[in-house]
Amino acid sequence: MVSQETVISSRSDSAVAEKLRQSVRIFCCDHDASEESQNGSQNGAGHLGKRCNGLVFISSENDADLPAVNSGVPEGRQHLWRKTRAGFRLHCQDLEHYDWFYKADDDTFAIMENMRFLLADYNPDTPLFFGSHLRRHVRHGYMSGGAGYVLSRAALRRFVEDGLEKHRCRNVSFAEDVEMGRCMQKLKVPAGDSRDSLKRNRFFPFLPSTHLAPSLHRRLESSWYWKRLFYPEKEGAECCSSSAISFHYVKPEKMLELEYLIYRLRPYGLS
Amino acid sequence: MTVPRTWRYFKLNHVQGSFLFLPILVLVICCLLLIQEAANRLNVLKENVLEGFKSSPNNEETFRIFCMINHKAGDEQRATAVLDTWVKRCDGYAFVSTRDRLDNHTIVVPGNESRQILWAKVQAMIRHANTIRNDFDWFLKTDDDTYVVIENLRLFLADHSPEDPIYFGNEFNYGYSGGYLSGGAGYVLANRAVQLIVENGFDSGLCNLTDHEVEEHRLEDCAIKVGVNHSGETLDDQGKGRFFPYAPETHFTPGNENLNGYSKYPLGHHLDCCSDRAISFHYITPINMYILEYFTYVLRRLKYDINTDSNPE
Repeated sequence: MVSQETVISSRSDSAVAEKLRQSVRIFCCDHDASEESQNGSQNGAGHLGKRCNGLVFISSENDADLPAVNSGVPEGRQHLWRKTRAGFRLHCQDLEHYDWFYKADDDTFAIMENMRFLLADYNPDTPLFFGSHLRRHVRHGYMSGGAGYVLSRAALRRFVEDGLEKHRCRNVSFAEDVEMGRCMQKLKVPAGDSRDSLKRNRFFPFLPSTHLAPSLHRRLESSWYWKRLFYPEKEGAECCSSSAISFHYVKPEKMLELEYLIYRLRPYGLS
Repeated sequence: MTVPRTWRYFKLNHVQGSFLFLPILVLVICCLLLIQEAANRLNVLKENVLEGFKSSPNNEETFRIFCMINHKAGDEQRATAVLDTWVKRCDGYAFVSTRDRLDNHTIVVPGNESRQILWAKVQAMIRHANTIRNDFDWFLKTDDDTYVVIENLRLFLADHSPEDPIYFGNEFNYGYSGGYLSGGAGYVLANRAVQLIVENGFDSGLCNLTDHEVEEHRLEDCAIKVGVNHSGETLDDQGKGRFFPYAPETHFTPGNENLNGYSKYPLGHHLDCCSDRAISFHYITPINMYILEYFTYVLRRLKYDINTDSNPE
């Protein structure tokens, strides 16, 4: 388990960040893919858990320490939509104590402070959802599952009451994130624009290297992304907001590296 | 009988007034556009406040650092990466290569690129440093796959004098009693050390100038002979290192704490291996240079508190 004491004591909360933490309450619904990623989720819990206002791992086993819960759904991509629905309905629905609900994978690295910064300008009681916005399949687009997406309290309420309980959204799907986009559109939950004022994206479904690399180096695995971007993304250093929120495919050692680079390493004198 | 101020009067003046109406309308529109422009700029400013592209120079430290980068001729991607990222924060720099980059910043050591030529390259660097000793206080030597956080180097050097015969870096003690400093992690020589090494070491014939695979050993042999010391403390006040001979991920991997017996000091476990004010990492590929640059200088978290950042270590 990652030692937590040193991290907290080496940083003092600025008044703004603490205020944001209290006023923009985010519940993290992390999806645990398989048995071998238990290690990943341990590290994931180690860094995410400190910074979400609340957290649960949707997994295949209960574990009070993490905390993890058994989703009751078998593993595998074909069951992801079912698992997502069960996750929200059963475990990630505390509408009273939280304002926003962020659903991500256990290999998604998220910078919660920057997520709060984005969400602070929006009212959680209006239906809205944010993420890495992609076009295709759904007219107003959908949010990539890998980068994680965040629903407002009002959006989640609609999802559970109208989408699930009243069955206005489909039960079966092979693409969980597309289905969520379809469902949101059906329930008239607008897709938010999470770009910064320089029009740079903030949620990323790949590792930083994929997004920061010039187009010549973009790998085949990510080729679909560049065609499906809802908003254009520049190449190289201008791709990514300075208040970026998430990256994906982050293995445990990489999580530590990102934790170090983002939360510990500081150039002296930089304001 | 004077014409009363009836609507006829106003109608007459209205015709005149319509000539004024248009310019006023234009003026109002311009004002609105200016306000809109100002609001936009404010938004961008708000964004830029979070960006912190440039490192703000610390007013207290005025010493100058010259960076000397061991460059493998032909590997342009690496040269570009260091130029695009950290080298601009040095007060001056030069590449040392077997071929001129034709950029007015190359020290040429003729020969074939290999480990064997490294000592010749380091000699060339230090000789060059000696010729510009009046213009710089400290001389940093790195490879072209070393990533350096110059501000943290300044912080570290603030406690030391360039008049002392010293050089600092990551200490190895494998196969060399007394220890030596890793070339890849980078080492920084004091002005005085440069002078002693060149004048008392190279020029006097005291030091071995022949080719050798491990330039660090030759350098340390020479340093000892001329009274230049490498064993200054580089750990921070929490006992964590600052100069690193590998990439961060390697240092975070459990089991690598002692670097297979190379490291003089056992590095901390996991995330605790490395100081918050780390100075250098090695074996950084070009793309990873840009990534480190992005995470260190561009990506901001709201938690940055200006007061905390300016507290001295």
